[in-house]
Amino acid sequence: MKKTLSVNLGGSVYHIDDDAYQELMDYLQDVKRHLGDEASSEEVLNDIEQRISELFSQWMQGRREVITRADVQKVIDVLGRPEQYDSAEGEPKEEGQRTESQREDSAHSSGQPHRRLYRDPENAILGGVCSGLAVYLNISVVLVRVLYSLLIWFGGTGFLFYFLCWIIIPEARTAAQRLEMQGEDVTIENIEKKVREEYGKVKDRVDGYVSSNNFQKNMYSAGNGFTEVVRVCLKIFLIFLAGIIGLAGVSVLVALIVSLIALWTGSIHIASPWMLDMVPLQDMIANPMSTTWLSVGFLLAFGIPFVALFRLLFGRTLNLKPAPKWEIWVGSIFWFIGIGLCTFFGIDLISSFGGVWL
Amino acid sequence: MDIENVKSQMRKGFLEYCTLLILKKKASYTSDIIEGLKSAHLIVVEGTLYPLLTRLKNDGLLSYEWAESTQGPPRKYYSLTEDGCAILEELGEAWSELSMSINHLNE
Repeated sequence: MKKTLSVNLGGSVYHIDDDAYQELMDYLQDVKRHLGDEASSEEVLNDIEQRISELFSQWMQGRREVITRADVQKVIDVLGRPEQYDSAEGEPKEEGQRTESQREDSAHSSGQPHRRLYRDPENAILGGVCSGLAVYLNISVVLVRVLYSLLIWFGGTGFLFYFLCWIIIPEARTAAQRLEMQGEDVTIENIEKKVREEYGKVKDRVDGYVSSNNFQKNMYSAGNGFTEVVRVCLKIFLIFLAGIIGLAGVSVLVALIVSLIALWTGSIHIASPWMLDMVPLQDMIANPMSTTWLSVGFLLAFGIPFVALFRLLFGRTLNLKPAPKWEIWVGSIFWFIGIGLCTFFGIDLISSFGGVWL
Repeated sequence: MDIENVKSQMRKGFLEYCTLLILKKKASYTSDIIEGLKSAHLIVVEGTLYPLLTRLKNDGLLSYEWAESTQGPPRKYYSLTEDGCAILEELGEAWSELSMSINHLNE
């Protein structure tokens, strides 16, 4: 399934495949560039668009709905590539025009002598070794790359070979070298033409990209992606923090409980002023039950606020459900009870001590 | 010497002349002109003609009218102007002269 666009060609509307549109755009831009800046060039472009529109409507004829790449190719065949203008030749040149590598306004002339092997930086994926080779042999870049990958598969020495080539074969950096690579004469006019071509291509490519939706979409999703990453990092950090604090709180509670148990079982001894030995704390206290209640009070008075605070701080991060009203009420009531217990039995305890020592 | 280049230069020069000749016979659409050229064993891609015709029109040798078409957008229907006819005559003479020179050299 492909995405289609609606396009206005010479006043008529057509549905055209996404990739076909790209190819047609490139072609029309090639033509535009070839026609240059003369006053008449706009008129000529209009004529050409009209003709394309005419051809399309002929071929669609109500049977088909969408213009495909095949149609665009046919149009290019009929109208010819810009390099083929102004020359009445035997047959319009076919080979070397539809290399798979990319849309190329490459003036590939077959059979030109003195072609030199260079690395082609324009179509390079890594170092341009394969594309340079393809240009030199005048075969499709894809073919070279496929053959090369097969080579690697059957014995990894391909890697070494590639690097050797990378080092040895010079890069076609200057325009003169690029011309030599394609086997064209290195004349001043050719160089000028090539430089202008390439400048135009890059400019169009950048313009097209910047103004196209893709650019904005990519920028947007890149920005989004970044904030997402930051958000996730923050979340992880908070969860970590929650874990640590939770652990600390739990250990405090455990300590409280342990001390409560210790107290109760009488394993805490305290020096008694009127006995020579250590006695369990329990015996010193007038009302042993008060310590139990005190501990319970402590648990409530500290534990409940702790849980509440924990919930408040980390509930969002850990996706806890917000506490229902009744929980809040019950929690508060028990907390008050806890405070009350602490106060009451605390005083009781202190007074019992105070009674002994004062 | 690059023979293809020279041949192409030769043909480039008189493509305009041939176009004018075709239009002298009768007013035509671009596709008709291509057919005419093809029948004279001059195969060009359509794209060549558009800049050429526009140039001739801007120089005043041709004029066109819009012809509505059932199958698609309206098309330009070209014809020679008076100036165009005059130029054609001149070119005809120039061509004969050239032809004579070549024949002479070939003897």
